[in-house]
Amino acid sequence: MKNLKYATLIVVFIFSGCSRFLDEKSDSSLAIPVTLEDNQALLDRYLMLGLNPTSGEVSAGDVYVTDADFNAIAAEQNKRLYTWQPDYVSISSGNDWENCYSKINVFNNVLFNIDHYDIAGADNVKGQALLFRAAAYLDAAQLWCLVYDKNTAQSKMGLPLRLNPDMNIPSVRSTLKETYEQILKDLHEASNLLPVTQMFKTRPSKGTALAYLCRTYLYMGDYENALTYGNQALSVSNELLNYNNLNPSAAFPIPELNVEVLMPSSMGYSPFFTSSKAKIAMPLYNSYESNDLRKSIFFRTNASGEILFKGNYSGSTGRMTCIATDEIYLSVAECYAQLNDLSNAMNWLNQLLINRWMQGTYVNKTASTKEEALQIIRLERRKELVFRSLRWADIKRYNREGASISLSRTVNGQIFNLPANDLRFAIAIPEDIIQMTGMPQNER
Amino acid sequence: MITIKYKLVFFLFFAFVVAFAQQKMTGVIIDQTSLLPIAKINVTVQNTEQSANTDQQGKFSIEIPSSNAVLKISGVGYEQLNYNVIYPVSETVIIKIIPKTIEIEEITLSTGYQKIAKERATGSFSKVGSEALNKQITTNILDKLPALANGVVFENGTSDTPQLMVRGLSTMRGPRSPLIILDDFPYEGNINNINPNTIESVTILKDAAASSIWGARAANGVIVLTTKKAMKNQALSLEFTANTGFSSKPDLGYIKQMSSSDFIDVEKELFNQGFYNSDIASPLHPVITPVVDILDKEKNGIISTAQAQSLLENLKQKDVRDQYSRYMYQNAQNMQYALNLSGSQPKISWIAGVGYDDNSGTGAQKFQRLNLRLNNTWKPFEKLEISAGILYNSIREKSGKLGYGDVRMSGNWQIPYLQFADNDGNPLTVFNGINQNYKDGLANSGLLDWNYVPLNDWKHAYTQSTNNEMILNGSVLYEIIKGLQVDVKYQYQQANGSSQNSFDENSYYARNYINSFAQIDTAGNVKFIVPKGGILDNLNSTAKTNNIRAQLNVNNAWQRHSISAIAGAEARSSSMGYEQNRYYGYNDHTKSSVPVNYTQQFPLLVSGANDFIQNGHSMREKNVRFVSLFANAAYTFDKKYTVSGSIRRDASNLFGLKTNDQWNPFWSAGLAWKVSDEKFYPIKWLPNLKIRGSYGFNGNIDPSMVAVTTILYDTTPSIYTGTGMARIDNFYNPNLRWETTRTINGAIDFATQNNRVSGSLEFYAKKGTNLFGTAPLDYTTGITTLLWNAAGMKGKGMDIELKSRNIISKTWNWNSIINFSTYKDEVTEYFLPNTFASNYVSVSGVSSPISGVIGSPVFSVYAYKWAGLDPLTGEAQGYLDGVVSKDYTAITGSDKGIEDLQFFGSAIPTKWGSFINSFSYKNLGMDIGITYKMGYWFRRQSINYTDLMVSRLGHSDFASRWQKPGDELTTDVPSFNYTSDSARDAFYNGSSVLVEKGDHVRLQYINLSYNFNVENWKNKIFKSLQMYGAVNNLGIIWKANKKGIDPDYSWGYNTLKPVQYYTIGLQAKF
Repeated sequence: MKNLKYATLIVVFIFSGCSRFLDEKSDSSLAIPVTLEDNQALLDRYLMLGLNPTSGEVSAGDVYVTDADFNAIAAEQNKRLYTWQPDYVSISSGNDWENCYSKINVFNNVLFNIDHYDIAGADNVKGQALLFRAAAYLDAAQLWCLVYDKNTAQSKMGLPLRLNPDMNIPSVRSTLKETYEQILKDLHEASNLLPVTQMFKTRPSKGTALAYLCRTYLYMGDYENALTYGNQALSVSNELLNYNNLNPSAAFPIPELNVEVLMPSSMGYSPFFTSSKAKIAMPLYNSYESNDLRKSIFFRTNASGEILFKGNYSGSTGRMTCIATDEIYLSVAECYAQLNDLSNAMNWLNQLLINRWMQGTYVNKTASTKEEALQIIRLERRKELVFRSLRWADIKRYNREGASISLSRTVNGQIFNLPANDLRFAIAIPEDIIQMTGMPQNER
Repeated sequence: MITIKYKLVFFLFFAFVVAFAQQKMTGVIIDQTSLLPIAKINVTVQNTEQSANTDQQGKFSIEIPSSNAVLKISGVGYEQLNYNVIYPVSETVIIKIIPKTIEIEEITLSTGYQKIAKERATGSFSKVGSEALNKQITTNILDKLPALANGVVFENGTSDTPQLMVRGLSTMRGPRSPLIILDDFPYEGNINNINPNTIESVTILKDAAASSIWGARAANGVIVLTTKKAMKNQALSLEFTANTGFSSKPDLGYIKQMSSSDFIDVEKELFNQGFYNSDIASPLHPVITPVVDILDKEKNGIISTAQAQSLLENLKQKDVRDQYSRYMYQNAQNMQYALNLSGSQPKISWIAGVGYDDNSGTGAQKFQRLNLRLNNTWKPFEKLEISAGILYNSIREKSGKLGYGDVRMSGNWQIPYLQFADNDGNPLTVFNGINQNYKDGLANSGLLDWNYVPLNDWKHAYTQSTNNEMILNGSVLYEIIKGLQVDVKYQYQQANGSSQNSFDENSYYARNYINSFAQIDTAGNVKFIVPKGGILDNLNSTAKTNNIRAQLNVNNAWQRHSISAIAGAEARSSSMGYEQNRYYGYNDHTKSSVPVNYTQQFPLLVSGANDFIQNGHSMREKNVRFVSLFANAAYTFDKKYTVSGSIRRDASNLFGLKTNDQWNPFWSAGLAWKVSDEKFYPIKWLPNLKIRGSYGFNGNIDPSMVAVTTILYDTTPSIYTGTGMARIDNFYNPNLRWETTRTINGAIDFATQNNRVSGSLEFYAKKGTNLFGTAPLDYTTGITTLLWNAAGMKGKGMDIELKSRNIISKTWNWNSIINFSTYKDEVTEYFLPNTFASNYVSVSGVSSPISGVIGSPVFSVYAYKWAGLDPLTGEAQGYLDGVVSKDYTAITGSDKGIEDLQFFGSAIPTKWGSFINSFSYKNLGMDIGITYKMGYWFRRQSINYTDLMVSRLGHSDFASRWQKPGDELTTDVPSFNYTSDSARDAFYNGSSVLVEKGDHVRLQYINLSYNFNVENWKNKIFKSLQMYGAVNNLGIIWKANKKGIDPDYSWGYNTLKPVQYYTIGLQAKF
């Protein structure tokens, strides 16, 4: 029976080290995101952050494709989006809704982790997450909500506001007012948490938060606040590229992460935006004056004489939607104009444009009325920010103020129209989402 | 069902009886085991011509000499017995004879933990011995099983890789592979490493009583591979096998390729509509096809209309399949050698083996395998047995030529008129990636040659891999007291793999990559950013596994009791790590490379876009650890009644990176009753009848799932920050646990007199709970699909195994084996039922969707209801809310439910099995193996016009499309519309007209063998010598579909049927 004891001993021996034995991580690249570095690593994944929505730019009408290329678009939903159909405009997988909310979920996780694991010294990371989340909601609101109007925002439908990573919380649409309040809340908090300078340009800084506050208030039509934060943003960073220093013959003349960029971000894939197929409407191209360097830096002509866009703020084929100082100059100018300070308005505009014109050829633009100033500034805004995914939101807010911009395009001989302030300016939420959540679809 | 004709033919009993004896003797011959009298046993008196047969009562009577008579007693199914007559001869002598070993009672089954006698087994086992395994010549042991083992099938209908299944599904989303055990421990290497010639037998553990000893990993069934062991009491024995085989070329006619003529006509029309204008005009110079190039040159007046016409006419005659067949495919050639040597003495027994395989595939790909093994068992004294073994497998592989579909111009383009060589066989350039005219324009710019010549390229771009695997094991078995042993086993396994993806300096990949980053300044000087030379991707992996097990074995019998039990504990750790590196400017002769700058962007030559040079470095490590406790006991009373039980608990480091305090128990219980041993048992013609039943639980785990929110770091850091980048990999799920499958099994085993017909009939029902289920989630949550333990399924089925010996004689023998299995499953619960129709008819991807509909099979085939072609336009028509409709966007809309679909049935076979016939005439033998699968559906491919236009992916159904009114009477293929409409294509490709029945019968193998009469040879060197010839994969002999589709090879567009294999070989034993 002695032998039996030994056998028992062996068994006991094996199990004594058992719990330590089972503590080993099952995969070296797996981690529970308990550290600051882990959470920063989640935010630094630019591939995911790059998936900004494309529906706005597709719908805005500055970019078009030929009929033949339209006919070759694989997904029917994309064609419907391009022609402003009221429903079935989202592809089944990887659509804008999914891309927006999967980003938001990452930011919610980071915010949850910081709180849940009580991560010390996390102001910077928390600020980044808040800013990213606000930016994503602001983008989303331009697509799936009607334009913000302080008189009606209480009764208009906003976005489902998911602020917690818990997937069990049902999605419920907030009011448009609540949506913008949340965006502002996150941005204000972020602007207090973020440092003035970041170690890497890919991470948003205080200036980025201020610039987003400026953009948000501008979209809301709150020009006083937009001006305040625009000025604050420019006081942190007001550098501009001088286009005279760029090489217009380069395939992609504008370098990535240049001095204007406050936060890089790029669009997701859209079959309309490939380098060979995305074409710029001729009237827009022709609106650039001859000494305007943007005409040669932004565009090139293909062998058929059609206009292609090469002015991406990525130095490459990637379509950037980044927030940059040039936008803030224009926003500030527009706010001054709205508030009837025409000299400041035109001054800020001219400060920007002098960097866009061929050296020594720029003549300061002037305006004698608010309307004239707004008209000049808005035209320059469209020309400066082409293919930056901002036009759709701008059309919506201009129309709020009576600009009556209607959109029209002809495809295969058929004319499609989107009249000013049409309900279709709020794009249809994916039908499967409506089906699964019971949330109301946008009014059609 | 096939009925077996019992043909009882006897040649035995035609002896003349010449009486010259002095004495008469009578006797009764009985079966030693059953103690029943045996009829038709031949009794011959040695050295005389006296002979007699027993009657129905087993009686015989014979004349014998008055002294020293020896009776030779022989009969079908019994060992021959020489009986020395004892004088004086009593009135009636009772002689017991021993049944031959094919008796089911003699079979021992290996579970990996113990060997149990089949007689006392309560669980469900299917065992295949080496003789049957040898009839098919394959490189992979598992490939042999579907034609041999009961309840086992390869399922090809739900993914692009065939899945071996034991008794259908036990999981929805978890791993579906059965657990493979090599002798004592799980084998997690590549099954191709194992030489089939070293395998003595394969045992399939099918129910809970058989497999729950493997606990958390046993739900998909367990396959135990038992290697050959040294024969007892045999000084030296040697077994040598050699065979060589060759195949036909693959049948490319099986691919439903669109004709070149049709394809060119489509391209012409699209060209006229301006379809290619953006690409032709693009400053990025994307590739265009040869036809578009000809048309563009004609348009620009570079070539005349007549020239263009003649070029196009010429291309219309080409078929890329001919080119592949001529230049890329060849007859495969395989060689296989194996030598097994074994010896045993009272204290030491050993076996050594060498195996070598040298295969060259139909694409000239090489596979070489060397297997060495040595096993030694030392018994220094009666109570102690020490064993040690080593197994070494070394595999070298090299990729070959390009297979069908591998030569592409861009993306997934499949151009049917591509040419690899001119009429004289000279290699030709194939357009690739960038417009060929643009490339030609740069020909003298100092760039590297930019032409893609597929016929040469395979020699310069290839993958070479070596995999060396070593398994060391040792065990000590000590008998403490009689019937009680302690058994400690240890196994260490290490596999080192290395794989080189090599693109030498002449490969298109390397030349193209180097050119793409080249810079040409205004003076025309070329600067290469990526250094000239080859590009090498080097991957090294190491896998190490440690297993240790200590168990107590109890085997005791007293009076009418017998007990057999084990109890023990084991721990297992396996780690896998890999490291991948990329080298630029690689020179294979000097093994040198040139460093490049990964941190800076460089402009690309063609687009001008800035890009980083691809950094191919990554590394990762995985560790899986298990600790388990197990026990198994069987008690038999009176050799008739057996009860068994087993229990196992597992813990692992999976599921949450923390010790799982929830030790998961799996248990089973079983009963067996040998009815035929009862005194009251009345059925004489069925002398063997056993009833058994079992109940128990098994588990299944997916190592990739953990219970907390985890993030996964990218293998390369951010190019912008130089720090790590991570994404969320798993979402918090505190309830994650093992999938559990409960199995109930009821069976009868039977054998008729002399085992003429024997077999088993089994019924089982299984119920899976806590299964990983996936459901599309409201992706506003940020999560598109969620996988968790929220699904349930049940399955039931029947396995019938029948072995019959139809003809038994001295010269003729005919045996049959019939395996027949049925299986049916259904979903019993599913979290968030996913009922969007479009998910069920997805026609792309690598696997079928889970139906998730309660009450329907786990993998179901659904389709859009079909309302025929519109007689006016030839457009497909479906139903929207019950009304005939062409609103494809709405019909295929993401919010349409499954209730709008037509349900066909299971996508995996619900009935399958095999039918094996073995014939022998004297020394000549023939085996024919047939397999069949029934009761399931698959979706066939057809033309997708969007794919045709966008991806240049055609289908021969294009030719039979609707073209004019009236065509709708003869075709279901919708008309072609030059405006692509993906919803229209999605509807047609997911419609019910493309759903076919999968039922088919396949001739798996034929084996012919000849055994030489070595016993008559003067030279006694051979114990046996056999020559054989075999043909594998003979193809389908019957199928339900009328479209010429082999349902096992219908997945995707480029799937080929396996080639027929012809092998000849010899096997000698010394």
